[in-house]
Formats: sequence, C-alpha cells, structure tokens
Amino acid sequence: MTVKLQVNRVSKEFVDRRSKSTVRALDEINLEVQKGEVICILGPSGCGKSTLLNIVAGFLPPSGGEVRVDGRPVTEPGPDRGFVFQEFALFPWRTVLENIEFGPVLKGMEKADRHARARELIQRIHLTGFENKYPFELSGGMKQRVGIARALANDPEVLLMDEPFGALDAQTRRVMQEELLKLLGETKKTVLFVTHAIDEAIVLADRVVIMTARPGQVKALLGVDLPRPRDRTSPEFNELYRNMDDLIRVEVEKSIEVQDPDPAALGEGA
Amino acid sequence: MQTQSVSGRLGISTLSVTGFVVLWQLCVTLELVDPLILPSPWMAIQSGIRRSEGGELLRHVIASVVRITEGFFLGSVMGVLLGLLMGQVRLIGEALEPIVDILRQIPEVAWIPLAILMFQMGEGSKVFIITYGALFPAIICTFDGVKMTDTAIIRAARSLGASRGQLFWRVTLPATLPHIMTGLWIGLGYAFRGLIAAELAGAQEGIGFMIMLAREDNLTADAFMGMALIGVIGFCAIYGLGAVRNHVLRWHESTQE
Repeated sequence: MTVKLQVNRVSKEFVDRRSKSTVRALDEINLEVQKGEVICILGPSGCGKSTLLNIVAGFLPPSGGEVRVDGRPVTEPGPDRGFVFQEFALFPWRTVLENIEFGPVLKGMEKADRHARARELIQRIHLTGFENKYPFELSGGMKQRVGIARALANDPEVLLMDEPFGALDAQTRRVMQEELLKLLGETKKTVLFVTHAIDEAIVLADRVVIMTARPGQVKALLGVDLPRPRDRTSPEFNELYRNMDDLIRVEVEKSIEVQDPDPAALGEGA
Repeated sequence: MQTQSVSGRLGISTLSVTGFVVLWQLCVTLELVDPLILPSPWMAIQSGIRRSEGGELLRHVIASVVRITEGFFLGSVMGVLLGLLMGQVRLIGEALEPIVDILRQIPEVAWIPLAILMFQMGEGSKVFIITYGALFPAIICTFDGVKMTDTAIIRAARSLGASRGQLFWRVTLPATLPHIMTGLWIGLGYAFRGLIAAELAGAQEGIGFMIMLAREDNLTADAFMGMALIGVIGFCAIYGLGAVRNHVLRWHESTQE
C-alpha cells in the first residue's frame, strides 16, 4: 500500500468578524490515507469537517500544518483533486454535457475526445438523453450525478466529497450511495467523504474518522471490516452503528452546549 | 421583467392596448375632456399623417433613433467594461465606487447645460446625455454581479483546473450575465429619458425637438403624437432587448414559460 494523502498537524483558526475573537475550528488534525481507500469523516455540525476538506482541496490555507498529496504539499486547488459539493455548484449556463466536459475543455482536449469521455460518464450515471438539459431542468439527484461525473471527467486520483448527498431525500440518498460505490469500484479513487450520517459512513467507508466538537480533533479512527455490499440490517452493521453513535452523541451534546449561549441572543452582540 | 411571448399573452396585450386607446378616444368624443388639453388618438394620428408630408416626421424619428442607439450602445459597453474591471480588480473597485455613487446621483438632465457648453448644439451633447443615463445602471449591476458570483461555483472551476483567465471568461462573465442584462434593462429607461430631455433643451431635429415646436405653436395634437411615438419606439426597444435577453439567458430559469 502507498500513502496517497497526508494531513499533518493541520489547524485552522477563523477571526469572527462580529466579536473580533479568534475561533479555532481545527486542532492539529493528523490523517494518513492509503491509495484507493475510502475515508468518511463523521462529526457533529460545526466541528470543522468541511473546513478540513476545503483545506485538502486547497480552497483554504491551513493556519498550521500541511496537507500532502503524493508527498507534495497542497498550496492551491487543482485537477488532481476532484471536488463534489453539497449544493452541487453546477454551472447553470452549461448543459449536462458541457458541465461534465468543463475540466477537459480547460485542458484543451480535442472536442471529439472530450465528448466521448463526457458521453461515457453520462451513460455511467444513467443520464443518457439528458445531455442537452440545463441544470435547472434536473432533480437534485440528477444534479449531483452531474456533479460527480464532472469531477470524474478529469480522472483525478483523489475525490473530495463534502456531504454530497446531504441535500437529497432519503430514498435518493440510498440510490446515490449504491451508485457511488459502483463508480468507485470501477475507478479505484482515493476518497475523502464528509458526512453527518452514521449509516452513510458505514455503507461507504473503509475507515471512518470521528471528529470531536469544535475545535475539531480526531476522536477515533475506526475500520469498517464488513463485506461489501453491506447489509444495513445485519447485527455487525448495527453494532458498529451503536459504537459510532455513542462516540458522536457526546460530541453533539458538547457542540450544543458550546453553541447555546449565543451572544446575540443574550443581547451582547453587535 | 416580462419575458414570455406566448400567443395567449400577446392576445391579452393587444386587447388591453386597444381597449386603452378606445377608452381615451371615447373620453374626447364624449367631450369629457377639452381636446386642446387632451387630444384624441385620432387627432394624433391625423397630425402624424400631416407631419409625414415631405419626410419631416421621418427625419425626426431617424434623428432620435440614431441618437438613442449610439448613446445606449456606448453607455452599456463602457458600463459593463467598467463594472467588470471594478469587480475583478479590487483596488479599482474600491477607488471608483465612491465616484460612481456621486455621479449616479446627478440626474442626466442636470448635465444638459454643461453638455451644451461642451459640445455646442452638435450631436455630442445629446449622445453624451444618453450615454450618461445608460452608463450607471450598467456599471452598478455588473459590479454587483461580479461580487455576487457564487463562491462554490468559483471553487468548482478552480478545482477543475481553471486558470485566472479561464475563470474570468468561462465562469465570472457568464455568471454575471443575468445582472448585466438587468443593468441594460434599467439603463434603457434612463437612456430614453435622457434622449427626450436633451432634445427638448437643445436640438434642431428629433422627436423631443418636434414636441417643443408643437408646444410653442399650441399644437397639442402634434405634441401628443410625438409622445405616443416615443412610447412606441420605447416599446420596440424593450421588446428587442427582451428578445436578446431571452436568448442570452436561455439557461436561466426566469426565461422559461
């Protein structure tokens, strides 16, 4: 096994504009991801899990520490790390096909080649016949299929997914999880997948990172050694679910306590 | 912003406009108002026919249409370019914003005396006023549009490998298009106001000039004919711009049925 991605003592601090105080979002996160591994990052809301993903993507600089991909430090976003957004972030003026071929277009790939690649991806995400539709004409699930295909069109070795199914209904979520596993099985990507849903993490992940409430730290790193496809109703699945739920519940309660005394609500705010 | 062009909608529009004109005609025919103060549509049409002799009316219409086209085009292009520049280069945006905010509050009409001094009675003064009117809505809407570009979309493009130039041409510009179209839409209204004001104040031809002459000769029907013409030309301009908008923003939800 080779190490694909390293997160070395990454910290992140934000300055709160209202109170001018410094908020520590991430505290010395360490993580090593093997090539082809699927890692789910699980944590209460506000724990900084999306911030961590944004740092790995190069969207945000860390306040301390560094991220390395193939041993090289990350300084900016790049096509070697595909990103899938919770709110899809499709280009509304581009059709399904044009969204998917955006990466290849930027690289200057020949029209015939990039069309062939986009069409193949469209087939794999079951959107044949929708090539020329604009994003506003698609359902949420379809939009995210396009979002995933757009990221895959660059054939990145690392795929970063920020609660990609968070905006979808429960049924669509299940279908999308299965489709993603199929896509990943075919492509062997290294995946960092942020979620707040425990069952989603167990279905998808080789290993699950459980984060603490803010400032986010790695609380536990659990391997999921269940055979695939994973049966949500099996005793092993449920035991793992209970373990993770116990670990997370404490953090959720902590984060609620931390968030509760909102200065604005107490009349101390601006 | 009305964008639809369904036949049903067209039918309603035709009906409402016809009804309005008929009602107006009735008010005058039934002597509810003094025709010297409010002439009837029929009197306006008659005046139009009378003025058409010798190509006089056409000459005024052409003069006005040429001016509005030049001024609107100039103001829109300069406004969009400035807005984009202000949005892209932070220093320029911060430096120009207060100047824009001061100048935009000065109505184009207030510039007429100065414009006449600067350009004498030539075409320059009229085109300057119209350009001024169209300029600021274009600047402000474009500038706002660039600033409001969705962060996630910018990030998506960067993670797909977009360079700075590609980011501007392939993301910022198309993302700003709906705002640019709004700027042009508002600017068109200001441009028309500027056109007529400038022609009323100092011109030798044009619809505004014709209205001014009619007033001096107490020919209210001629004045009304001129005003109706402005309305019709303005309607055509809005219709044309709407068609352009619907095409340019065919990917936008607002242009759908």
